[in-house]
Amino acid sequence: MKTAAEQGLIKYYLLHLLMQLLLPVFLVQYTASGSNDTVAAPRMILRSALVNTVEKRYDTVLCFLSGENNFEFIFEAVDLSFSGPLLFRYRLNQTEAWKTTGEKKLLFPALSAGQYRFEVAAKNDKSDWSEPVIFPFTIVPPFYQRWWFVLSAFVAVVVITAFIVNRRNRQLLKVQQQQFVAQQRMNEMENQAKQAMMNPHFVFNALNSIQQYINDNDRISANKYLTKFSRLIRLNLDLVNKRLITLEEEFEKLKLYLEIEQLRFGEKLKYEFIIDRQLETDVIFIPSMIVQPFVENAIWHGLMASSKGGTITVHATSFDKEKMLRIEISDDGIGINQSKKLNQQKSRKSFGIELTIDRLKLFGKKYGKEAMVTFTDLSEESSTKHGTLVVIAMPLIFDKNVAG
Amino acid sequence: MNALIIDDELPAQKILQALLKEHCPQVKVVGCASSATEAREMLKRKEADILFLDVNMPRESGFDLLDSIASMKYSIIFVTGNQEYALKALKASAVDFLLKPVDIDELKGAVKKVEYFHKLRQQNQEVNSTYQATVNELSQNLSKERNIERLTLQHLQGFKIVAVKDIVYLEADRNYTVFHLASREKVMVSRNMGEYEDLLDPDVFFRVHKSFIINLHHLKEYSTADGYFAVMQDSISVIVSRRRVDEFMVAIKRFTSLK
Repeated sequence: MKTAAEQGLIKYYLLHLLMQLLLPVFLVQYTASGSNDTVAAPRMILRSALVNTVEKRYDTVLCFLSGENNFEFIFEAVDLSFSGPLLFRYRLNQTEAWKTTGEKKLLFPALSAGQYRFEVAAKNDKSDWSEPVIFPFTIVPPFYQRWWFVLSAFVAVVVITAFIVNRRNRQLLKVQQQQFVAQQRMNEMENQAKQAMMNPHFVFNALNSIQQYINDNDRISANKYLTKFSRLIRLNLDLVNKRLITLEEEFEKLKLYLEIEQLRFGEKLKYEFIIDRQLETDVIFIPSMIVQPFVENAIWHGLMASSKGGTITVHATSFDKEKMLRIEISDDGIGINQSKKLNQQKSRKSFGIELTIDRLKLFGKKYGKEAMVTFTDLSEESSTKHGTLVVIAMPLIFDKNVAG
Repeated sequence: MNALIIDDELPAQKILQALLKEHCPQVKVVGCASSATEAREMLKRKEADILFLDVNMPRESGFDLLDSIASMKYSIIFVTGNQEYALKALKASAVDFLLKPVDIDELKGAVKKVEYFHKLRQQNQEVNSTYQATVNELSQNLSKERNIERLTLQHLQGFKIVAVKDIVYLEADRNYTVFHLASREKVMVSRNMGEYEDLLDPDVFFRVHKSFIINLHHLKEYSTADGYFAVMQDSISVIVSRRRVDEFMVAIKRFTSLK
């Protein structure tokens, strides 16, 4: 086997020999056109093309990988006219302008990827440019510049980005959910605390009433009042740690509360509980302190604003095929419209009504149902009626474990 | 009847004394003790039928005192603030208790009951020994954290100590509770069923209906043929509230997995 360089050398000598054999023909030609000033152009020979110092054949279109990009061309021209020094011109692309050189060797280090067509031609002082020798070659772009890679990289980036965005969204959603739960829990805790304290207004009025009985030497009433009051405190303490309490417990508390208020207001305050017989109050769970604020409101803004006082009716039923619970609190007091007018003047705050409605709504949301509270002034329904009707509608929950 | 008041707080002694004087004149307070030690001394010298006993006292509690005396001789009425642990034990026993501040009507009721049973115990030795047993049971139940094994039921004829495992089911009848026992015996007690529900192990006792609590140990089968029924021993069917069916199934599953 012969090395590339040896092959190149052999080619060179063979060509040289051929040239010399053809010399007389050229001479004849030259002589024939001797009258002309121009002489025949030299004959261009590409001696060798080296890529990364390795010689390549140049009779086909060659493809090189992106790393094979250091090109060296060694060429020569056979000038039979021997008219002065030889000049070469070359270019790498047909679109490029020709460059000239006197050297018989050209180095193109680190060519970028692309299609090339190396052309080199020669001339002497008198001749035109010879026919160029052509060495077409292509340097394949590196894999990271090829379409399939770019496309898959792009797809990958899109997919990864989508994945990250999605994950982040999910995390955000999770955080939001946690926040929602936390907020709910906070509300509940806040309420538990408030409940433990009980309405200070109520507490001090109760204590005040006890004091009055003591001063009046009415020991029986003082005792009765005191024990009822302590029973309510005890019940509150027992229930304060429960997130949900039974309807029965809520009503028991409510009754105690009303009994205590009744001791104070006497005949001016009457109350009535109507509980649907179908309703299993001992296994229906509701958030605590849901009904009482409305009852307190009815007493203070409905009944006590009227000189005659009146009756509070609490009515509990289920509806929507036992999926919803309805608790109605009605009074025959002055009615919400008039009460609002009075309150505007006094700017008195109602007892946590807003908070209770918020808690109810949260409770509803938790069970995928809508909880609502509606207020109706009864005088709007009929001119013979007066008072306020509050309707609470909320999900009817049987299992506190599910609720937990 | 003679009574001794044992409470470490002087105002509590005085209040009870005053209330008894005014509302229960048949009860004569023969002395007030501020500690268990003082009470023991006093009991040596004085005849007493009823002991009004504070649960929470420094050094020795009311229960400790009870363990150290011949409690058989006395009828006990515990007076307590809000000691949860004590309440559970007290509810499981037939010993009466009052919550502070003492309600006049409750005091009257407790005294009336004590009078009735005091008489009954004097007439009937068996009733007396059961009472003794329930008093002993009291401190045992107190030391147990959770599940009470035996209940003392108070009925008009006396007391009955019932092993919780022998209760087949409980039936609510207005303010009364009927215990259906494995021996096919029925005991009617004048207490709300809800109070018992709190005492019983929720893993074993399940409220299938507003008016029924069943012992899952005695559940034979479960029928859905004609409505929902829990079939107990002797083919007694207890109705299961439709709304509680799902929960009931969960309770059964939990119960069988525990067994």
